[in-house]
Amino acid sequence: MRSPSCRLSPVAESMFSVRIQAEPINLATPNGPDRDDCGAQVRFVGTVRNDARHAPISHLVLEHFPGVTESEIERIIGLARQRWALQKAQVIHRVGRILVGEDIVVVETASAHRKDAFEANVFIMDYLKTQAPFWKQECFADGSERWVEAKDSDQQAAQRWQPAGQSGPLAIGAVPRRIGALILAGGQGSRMAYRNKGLQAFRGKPLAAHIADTLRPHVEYLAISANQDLDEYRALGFPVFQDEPGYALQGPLAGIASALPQFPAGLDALLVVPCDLPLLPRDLVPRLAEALYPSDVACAIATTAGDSHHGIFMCRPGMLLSLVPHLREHTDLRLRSWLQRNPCVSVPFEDEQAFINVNDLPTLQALQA
Amino acid sequence: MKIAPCAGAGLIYSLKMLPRAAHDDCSLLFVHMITITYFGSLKLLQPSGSEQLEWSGGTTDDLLSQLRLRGPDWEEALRPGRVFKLALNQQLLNGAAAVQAGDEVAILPPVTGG
Repeated sequence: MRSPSCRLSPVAESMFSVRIQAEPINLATPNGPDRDDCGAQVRFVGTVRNDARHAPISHLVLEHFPGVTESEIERIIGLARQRWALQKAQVIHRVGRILVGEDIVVVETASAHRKDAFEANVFIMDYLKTQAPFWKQECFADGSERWVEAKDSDQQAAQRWQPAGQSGPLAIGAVPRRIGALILAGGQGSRMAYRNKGLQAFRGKPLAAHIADTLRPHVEYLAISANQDLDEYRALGFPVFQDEPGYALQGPLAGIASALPQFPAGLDALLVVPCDLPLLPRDLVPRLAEALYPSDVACAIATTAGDSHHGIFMCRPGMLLSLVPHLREHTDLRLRSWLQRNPCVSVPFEDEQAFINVNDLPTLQALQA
Repeated sequence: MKIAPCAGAGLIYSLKMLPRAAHDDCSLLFVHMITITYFGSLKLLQPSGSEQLEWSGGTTDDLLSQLRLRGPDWEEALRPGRVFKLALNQQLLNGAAAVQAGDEVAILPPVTGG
């Protein structure tokens, strides 16, 4: 039975795919959407050509970065889906040895009306050319070979999708963001038989190590706030800071205020994450940063299905100036009450499972299973 | 109570001073190495496509500075203004990141697919 609307069923989800293959692309295989609400389909086919201005090419050799190339194309498709109402976006890209006249890339898009399918197809191709990790080597008839240089015209083509004056996540060669991160592990762990939560073993390593692995590629500096088992935390390979005596055990705000003076100067943002969420999404840091930088807000907080996770936020350095006065002047020292006094924005994440909080041993055991 | 007047702009804390992981002392031969992988035209610098490098700690920026000292062709291919990307353990980076012993750093020249 065909669905009457454009809602995506699990079957329709397979209409969004990435395939990288060494074998020639077989365009004869029909893989159009099996539904009657897609009024428009666009198929782009890129072919290896001989450029008359240069020596004749015998073939190309295309290299990619297995794993990373696929995720980068999935990200590009995700960006296209945010922007256009698509029912299909499939990318097939060849790698290895490709002869002149053979197809190198196929991008298929489908939508209810032609505009979305057309525009999304061009968008995906422009970004494939400038963002997806592929490298071409031209091999000439005389046996010589050379790596192809990146073309400025491809960069310009991709830049046209950029809103004017915004150097957001889509920017080519985006300015590095200097983010410092603090993992909060300073709690008492009373529901974990007084063993520190962040050190509980989960899938072969401590909970805090899972979080460090998720954050590390995206941050310039990473530290842990803890008040017990300090040596075990240090063994994870990051600086560990205890609450200052004046703040001792007054909660997460005290942990942040105590660790901050030890952070390097010149950071653009501070990221705070509790120690007990081992399944956090890999794109947590870039998505919080994206939400924070283009807009006029001080802080970005992760949310799922309307739930705000106040322990997971990224804020500008300026907002931290209000932290010490807040600790002195207020009795409500929950993170939430400090955050709410500042201009915050929510960053929605779809996968609620990724934000499971391992608050007690039964939750941990259930997740291990 | 010792709190810097301007929290957030605190002491400079060099990444080189990071406490070493406790297990580092056990197997010096392996634990202090990182793997560097080269893609595309950067293979002209390192034809095998990868190498092991002894690593005493630091950031990806420190690593690039170190590689640039290898000669004029390295300095040119990895010059700061050139658009290339790095990946740490198979995740593309947006900026500098701390590199630890055992990590794999990939250096990606400007892409030329499609």
